[in-house]
Amino acid sequence: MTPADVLDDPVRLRAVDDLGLVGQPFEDRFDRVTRLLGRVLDVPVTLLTLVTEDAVAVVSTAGGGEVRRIERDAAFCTEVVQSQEALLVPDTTADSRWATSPLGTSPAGTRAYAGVPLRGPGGQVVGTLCGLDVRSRRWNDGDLAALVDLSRWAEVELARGDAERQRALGEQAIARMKDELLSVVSHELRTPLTSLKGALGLLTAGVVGALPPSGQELTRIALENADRLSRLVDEICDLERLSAGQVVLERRPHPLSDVVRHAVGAVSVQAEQARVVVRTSIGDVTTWLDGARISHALKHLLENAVRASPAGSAVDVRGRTTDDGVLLEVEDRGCGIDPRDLERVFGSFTRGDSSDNRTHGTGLGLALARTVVEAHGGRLTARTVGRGTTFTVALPQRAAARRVGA
Amino acid sequence: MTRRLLVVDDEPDVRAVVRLSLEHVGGWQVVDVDGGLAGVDAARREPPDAVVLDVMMPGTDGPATYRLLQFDARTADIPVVMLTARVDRADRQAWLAMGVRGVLAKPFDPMRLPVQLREVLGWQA
Repeated sequence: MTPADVLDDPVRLRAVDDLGLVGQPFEDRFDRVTRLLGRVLDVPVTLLTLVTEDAVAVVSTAGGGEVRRIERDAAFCTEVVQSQEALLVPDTTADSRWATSPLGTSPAGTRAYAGVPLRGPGGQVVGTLCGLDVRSRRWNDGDLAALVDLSRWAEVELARGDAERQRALGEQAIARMKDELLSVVSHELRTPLTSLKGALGLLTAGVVGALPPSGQELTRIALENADRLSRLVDEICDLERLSAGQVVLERRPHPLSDVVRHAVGAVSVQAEQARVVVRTSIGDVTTWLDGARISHALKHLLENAVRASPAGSAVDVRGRTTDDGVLLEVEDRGCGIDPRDLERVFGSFTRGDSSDNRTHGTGLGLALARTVVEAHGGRLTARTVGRGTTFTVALPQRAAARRVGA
Repeated sequence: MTRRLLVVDDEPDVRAVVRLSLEHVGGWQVVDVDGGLAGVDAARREPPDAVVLDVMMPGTDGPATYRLLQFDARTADIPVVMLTARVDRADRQAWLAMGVRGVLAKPFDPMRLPVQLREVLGWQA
């Protein structure tokens, strides 16, 4: 590679770009290097530069004032990057190489220059660390050694910034991928589910002709499972969007009894089939919350409670105000949850008893309920006392106790 | 007189199911097309009583199709209902604010779809 190629090598230029430092405010971590270099070399001006496509960009300087950019043709640093070697110029006016070039007669009045190349994390020469003097200097081995040592420090700092930047970019990319995946999941899974549920629904209803009993049984099984898959897709999407903080809660005053009634209504068929009675006892309180979402969370708690309940038993829903907000409890008379599992049930795809296949939950209901409650600044906990489990939703004052019309 | 509905959806299977539901359960006449521009074209040639419009379609998507229908005096008054796998609350509100009559979610229950359409369109059974 000829020297000119080095300077404009696209890989090198990208390495400079990737550092993300050109045009950024001066950073203390680089200023420490240039300040120390100034003292060690005893020069009035030191620079840490990156040589870009069209200029020498000053990333840090001691004594160089506010200069942020030098023309490439007017800088010794360009020569250092081109040659990829240290450059020591004792006296620019006495050096035949520079006497007639703009460098030798630069208006900055540089008489002496000592610079070494800086390599980026990828190994390309990205810029220089250098000292400038207005007097001629006889650079010695100690000066060069100091420059080389301090350039290693500067390179470590360059690499560190790059690593942080890469990590931040990586996190952004992952968040973006998750969003895209979610959007694909929601559309690409719901589309075939639409055809599947539609076709099965029409078949089961006998719209295109009556099916024999065994055929009805088969389409019923297929339809139930399509429904289950469909709920799972909805819940995964909900959970992801809630966890990613993408959901804006629409808080309005709601009578607590309304919120509970909606949830109870949503599980009435399931409760009837399981021969479980849902009893409610809700105080007269109006709460400030996202009614649809809290109602949805409560529905998940109720579904869970009904599933856990033996036939002929009751699920109790109680709601009341407390000193610091609103408390909602859902109590079942099922077999309870092992205390060691009380926290685990809020995880995704965990069930109290994984061998129990008669439960047709998606395994996400409790995780969703907790996420919704926590988005309201509240807490969802579970406890088992003797038989049965009680889930408690505690919503804070901020989300509650706003009596309207009073 | 039997009502005519125009179904616009790029998925042939979804179109088939929607058509069967609207014809057999709803008792309506159905014309279906596979894209936004084809939908606008069909609506201009023979304005239907309502348009059931998919949202995510390649090329001219649901909202773009809706705007095209709005720009043309021949089709501007036809009520449009979105039928979509994208059920984001913000989207739903934005479309309703644009003037869409209703937003129904996919997957749908084919036995209930005509009922839901009647509700949002304000049609008597």
